[in-house]
Amino acid sequence: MILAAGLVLAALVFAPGLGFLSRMLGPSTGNLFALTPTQFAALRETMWLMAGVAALTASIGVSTAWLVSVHEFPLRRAIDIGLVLPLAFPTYLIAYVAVDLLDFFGPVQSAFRAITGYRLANEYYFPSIRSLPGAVILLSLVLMPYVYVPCRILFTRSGRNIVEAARLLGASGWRLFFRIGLPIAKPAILTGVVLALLETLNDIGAVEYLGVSSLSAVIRDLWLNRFDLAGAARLAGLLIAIVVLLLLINPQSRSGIVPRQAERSSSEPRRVPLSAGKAWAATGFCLLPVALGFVIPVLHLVSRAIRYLGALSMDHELLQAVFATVFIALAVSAVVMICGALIAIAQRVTGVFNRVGPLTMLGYATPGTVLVLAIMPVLGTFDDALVGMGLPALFIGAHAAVIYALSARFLGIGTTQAGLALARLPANVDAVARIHGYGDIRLATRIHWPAIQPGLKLGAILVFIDTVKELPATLLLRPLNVETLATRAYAKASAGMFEHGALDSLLIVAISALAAIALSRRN
Amino acid sequence: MPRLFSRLLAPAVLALGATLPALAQEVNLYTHREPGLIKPLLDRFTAETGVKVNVVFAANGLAERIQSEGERSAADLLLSVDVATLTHAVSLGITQPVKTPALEKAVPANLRAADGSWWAMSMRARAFYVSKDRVKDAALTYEDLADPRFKGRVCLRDGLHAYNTSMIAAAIANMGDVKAEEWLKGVRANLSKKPSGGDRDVAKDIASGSCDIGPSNTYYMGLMNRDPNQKAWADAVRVVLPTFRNGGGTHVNISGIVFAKHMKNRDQAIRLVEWLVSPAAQKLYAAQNFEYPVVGGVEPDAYTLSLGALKPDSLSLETVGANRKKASELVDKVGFNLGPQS
Repeated sequence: MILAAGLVLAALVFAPGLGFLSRMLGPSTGNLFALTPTQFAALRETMWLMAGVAALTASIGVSTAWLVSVHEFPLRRAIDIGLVLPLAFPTYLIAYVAVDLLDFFGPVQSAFRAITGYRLANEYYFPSIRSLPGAVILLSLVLMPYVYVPCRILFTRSGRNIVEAARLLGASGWRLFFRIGLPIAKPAILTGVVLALLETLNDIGAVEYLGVSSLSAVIRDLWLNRFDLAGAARLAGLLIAIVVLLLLINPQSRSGIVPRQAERSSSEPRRVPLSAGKAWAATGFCLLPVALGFVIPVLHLVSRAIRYLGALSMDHELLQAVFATVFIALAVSAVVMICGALIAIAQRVTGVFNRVGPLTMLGYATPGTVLVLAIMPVLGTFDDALVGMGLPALFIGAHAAVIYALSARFLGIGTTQAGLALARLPANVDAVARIHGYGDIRLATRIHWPAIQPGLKLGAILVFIDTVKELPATLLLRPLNVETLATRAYAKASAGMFEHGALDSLLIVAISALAAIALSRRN
Repeated sequence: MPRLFSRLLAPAVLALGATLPALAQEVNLYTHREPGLIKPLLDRFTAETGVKVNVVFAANGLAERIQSEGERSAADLLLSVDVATLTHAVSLGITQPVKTPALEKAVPANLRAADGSWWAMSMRARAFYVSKDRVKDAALTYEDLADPRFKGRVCLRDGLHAYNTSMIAAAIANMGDVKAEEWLKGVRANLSKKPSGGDRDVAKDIASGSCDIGPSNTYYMGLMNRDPNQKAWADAVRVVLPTFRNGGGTHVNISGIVFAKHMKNRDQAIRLVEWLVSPAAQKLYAAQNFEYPVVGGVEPDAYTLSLGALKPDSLSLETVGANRKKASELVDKVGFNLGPQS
């Protein structure tokens, strides 16, 4: 029965994959094997972007996690929460906010001109945020928590004994970090960096808005200008191949955001107080990413929201959008965690799904728009099947379409978190239970299900945040007259009036931030 | 289990299904136009006729959605910008031609499909924004954008954005393949930076002094002028309505509408489209969005008129739409989006 449930679930999850394959195999007017100069340049820029984001998220994430875990300095506890908060910012939003702040008419350059007396842009040099380095910095600022959280958990739990032992042997300061901290954090860093890179590949909007020619933009061009959906799907296939390589390189890919060797431990390593100067330097260093990735953008959104208060619709439509956003996010979290748990348990009990776990990450890796185009035909098939069974059609033009698409997209988070939690349960527990006459079902419900709970909670929070921020699938599949906060903010931005959506944007950040705080409290 | 179903699942099924039968008079509109731009118009329609308009907006992909929804699609109408998107919808087989005497009378022949499979609702022009201080030419051609005197002074959004590919498609039709390629290379050489941002950023960049000239749609001028926080950008620029050297006029594109193949509310759909091309609605649309009306005898908004007299290119819109693929390939070939050097 568990095997059957797992198989049905796997089929539902991989249905979009079939849709995607059929798109790829359709007639294409282009030639995938001869990349044009622009496509090649886009591939190159995408690689640089990924390299930059990997380097920056890893350095910020691990260094701040180390300081917060092993040292004592002013504001440490607040910073610990603050470093998770940038996760609340969708990439497209941070891009709009940064350009608004840093371009010629923004407060920064205006103040600079007021002080210096310059009048025009060509009279002085100011680095442009609309550039590859700009994109690397902005994406890294909001994706950094993907590295921070697992590193922090690792240093807190399993790092404790090693760190204490190294201290007894006389290691301290930089030496302790480079000789002990960095090596033991490697799996956590890799795990986080892979998630950050998946988000980078998936980004729509931010990278384009910043003038970086990404593969996603080329895919859109093939589809929208040349009406070559098959060519677009094939290029997306190349993108997915890159991701599969990433997953293969990363030995910890199956362990999700919390490293496998993390063990339960009630106390953190003893934190060493820093001398006054060093302590404040640590505070400054850790506050910088919080300020740039969260506090300043939020303050800017608040000021925009106030300035455009007249243009904002504070009416029932805003409330409906909040409700729709939370409803969809809760539904997707629930579906993903239940399915993730079932697949993880089926994997443990039957051993059939050992190769399936990592594959569920593919939905996460597929560019959002491409995934939606692949899912669309599947929805019709589902409805045909339902009607064939004498049931009402549920999917087309309904919330269920959005919930299904996003669940397929984020399922990887569910399976990895559930699988991870289950992996902490020693295998001989199963053996003992079987000796006591437990069958598959009883083993699953009495032993595995309770053991999986912590992983499910963590995963649910991550899925919730991702869903609140998600754009392409929600935008393309939502029912008539339904708006979420993200679709409302996007509509304003796409008409060149991003600031009119400031209140919606703030609410996206607020809702995600609340969930992110819940995430940080679990440390 | 049955009780569990009736208590928990049945309401959920109802909530998720959300496909309730049409109770009142209504019409379902899928739109690629930002809802804020059309809402005042649709509200007026509902107030006048009592017909409710249900809307779903996405920047693109709605034609594909209608295609995969098949017979179950709720869509009655698809409102879109750019003629290529409309003809693409027609080629996907998701539309049906509809002709009524009122529509045929209102919309000129060059702004609709001969068989009635798509209809233009408004018209926009691809103008140049130029610096009031630094560009003195009273008239310019699209060819001038590649003139060496504008070296390092041209800025615009992504060359693959629909507005630019359509302009380049029109250039291909007017200049021929070889000259159009030379021209686009010249424009690339004149760029002040890599193409990025949106149409308003052209005005913004000119106001900041980082470039002097760039293609942008006319109606953004009206929208920026109306926004106190953006008025400074509009004030720094002047609009020139360029032409082609071969005598071709200003490149125009349209927003337009198609009737869905499986529309369920046929009468209301026709009523809405006929209403949208009524003089009163066209006037309201022009005042709200600063676009050009398609119906003869309806004047554009006074502000739009102040930007200059529009002489639209006589090229058929379907030719422009058909050239879009070529235009995208040309942008690719000359490495337009890579910016001035590299």
